[in-house]
Amino acid sequence: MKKIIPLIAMAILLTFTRAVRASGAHIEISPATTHILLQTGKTTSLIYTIANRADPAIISITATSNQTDVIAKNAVTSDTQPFFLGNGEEKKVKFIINSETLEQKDYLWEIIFSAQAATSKDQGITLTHALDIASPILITVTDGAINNEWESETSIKQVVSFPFGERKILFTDSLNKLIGRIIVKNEGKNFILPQGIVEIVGKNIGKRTFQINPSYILSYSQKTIQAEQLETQYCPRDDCAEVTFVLPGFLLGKYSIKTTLRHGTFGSEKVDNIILYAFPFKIIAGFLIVSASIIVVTGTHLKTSKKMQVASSGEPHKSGIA
Amino acid sequence: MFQFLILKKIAILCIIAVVFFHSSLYVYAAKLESPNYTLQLQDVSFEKDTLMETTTDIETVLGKASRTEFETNGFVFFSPYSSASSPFSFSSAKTASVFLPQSGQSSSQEIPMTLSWEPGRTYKLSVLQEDLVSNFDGSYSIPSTICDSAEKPCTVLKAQKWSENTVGLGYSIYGEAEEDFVDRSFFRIFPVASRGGKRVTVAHGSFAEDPKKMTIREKLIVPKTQPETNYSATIHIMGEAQL
Repeated sequence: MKKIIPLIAMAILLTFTRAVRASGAHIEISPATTHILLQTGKTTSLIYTIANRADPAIISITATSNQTDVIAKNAVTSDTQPFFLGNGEEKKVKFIINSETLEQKDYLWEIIFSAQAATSKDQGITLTHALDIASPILITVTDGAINNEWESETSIKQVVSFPFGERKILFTDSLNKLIGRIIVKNEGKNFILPQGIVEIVGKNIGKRTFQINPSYILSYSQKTIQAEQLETQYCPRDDCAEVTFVLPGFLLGKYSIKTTLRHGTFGSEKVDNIILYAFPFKIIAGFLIVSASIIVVTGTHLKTSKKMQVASSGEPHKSGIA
Repeated sequence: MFQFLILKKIAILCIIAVVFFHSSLYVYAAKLESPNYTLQLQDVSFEKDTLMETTTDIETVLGKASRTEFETNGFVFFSPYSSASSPFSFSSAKTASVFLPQSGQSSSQEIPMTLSWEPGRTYKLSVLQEDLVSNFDGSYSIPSTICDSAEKPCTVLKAQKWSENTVGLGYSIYGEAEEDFVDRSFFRIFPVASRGGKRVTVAHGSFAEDPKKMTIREKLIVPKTQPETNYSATIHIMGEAQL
């Protein structure tokens, strides 16, 4: 009996191990992203939770930054060594963030958790996959001021424009979708958080609104922002990377497009106004060409038939002479 | 007879017109091209705001509560997103690919992967190979492929078609992928960290309601002259949450 019990235990263990192996690798981290505003000379901590939902794995951690300065690079540290994390287990990992050596601006760090399961390398060619999961940390070192230098640019795709005084008038075909893109460019030392609304007013659509939820634009970078109501199936070639909003359907008449953006919750607003006219140019052109063709053909036939009538009325006379 | 001729010609014209306008109206939105025409329409930029150089404060951007916390503690954690604590999850169906290829024969392995997070947030997927695929002491190694053409080889950033028996290691990705992975026959090579290679993005996008699913396909053709022994390498596949 004493010999049987360990055998049963081993059988159960092997069965369990096989089941775990079948699940591959699966890790979760929280928080996924972090933004911390920190006064100069202050220190704080950040705790990550990492969970393993699949095969047992060795987890190693690295903190990388966009800084080349060695002193600045040491501003985010953790004394956690690589550790073993079994299936279904969680572990909390602490990072210390120290702004003593940092000047007042934004810094971007990335914490990378790398999970590597044990694999045998004793047959053929083995490519081991380390599953890495990365979480960005944006650190704004400030005494309370936020430096903002930003601009936004609204463009509408598939339009023809004509200058009208200092402004331009836009025309588009009724069969086109109204595709808009808002690019926000950040030239400042700190992040910006543009948010706002796009309102499109037209007689056949009433008022349509697109909510622009806040999204980070890091210093010295630019980004196409996306509306919450963006219906991805209408994006050109299913690529919404350069699209903010799309208004599908038949367009007709005058449309006013008003974009209101502000930085943060209470920042000053920037307003863009665009006037667009939509006409069924292609349908009208098609109709005109068909009509013109019918007139030309009818006219040609009328002339031909008149000639035939003249010729046929002259034939008996000719035969009479003959 | 005369009226019949006119009606017949009008009918033919109408058919021609319908065919003509159907094809000319069918314009691909991205390239503004139809099978017959290219429309020279432009994207017009408007009301480009001038660059504003201003300095504001935490309260204006993040609200009064954040400012108070910042002044009291010397720091404040901030998130503009409704569910800031939602975990970012990354899974892969395989932890390793084992190839048992015949020399000169093509073999491939697929790694299905899933990324999940809250809707509206964005992600990036990138890859990096630690070292060349080599034997235990590094004396032999399997090269990266050049894909089909030596004149236009696939690189770490540009996928090319690989359907011939060109030797080496390469990978493709489908499901969610960068544009150069035109179809499943297009491959890139892994950047190798020990040779100065950096991580390269192979897919990016934003989450909707469903998780993002993609599959990496590793393809290997071993040179006929390759010494017979065991080879290995570690490949890092990274899912990255974006701010």
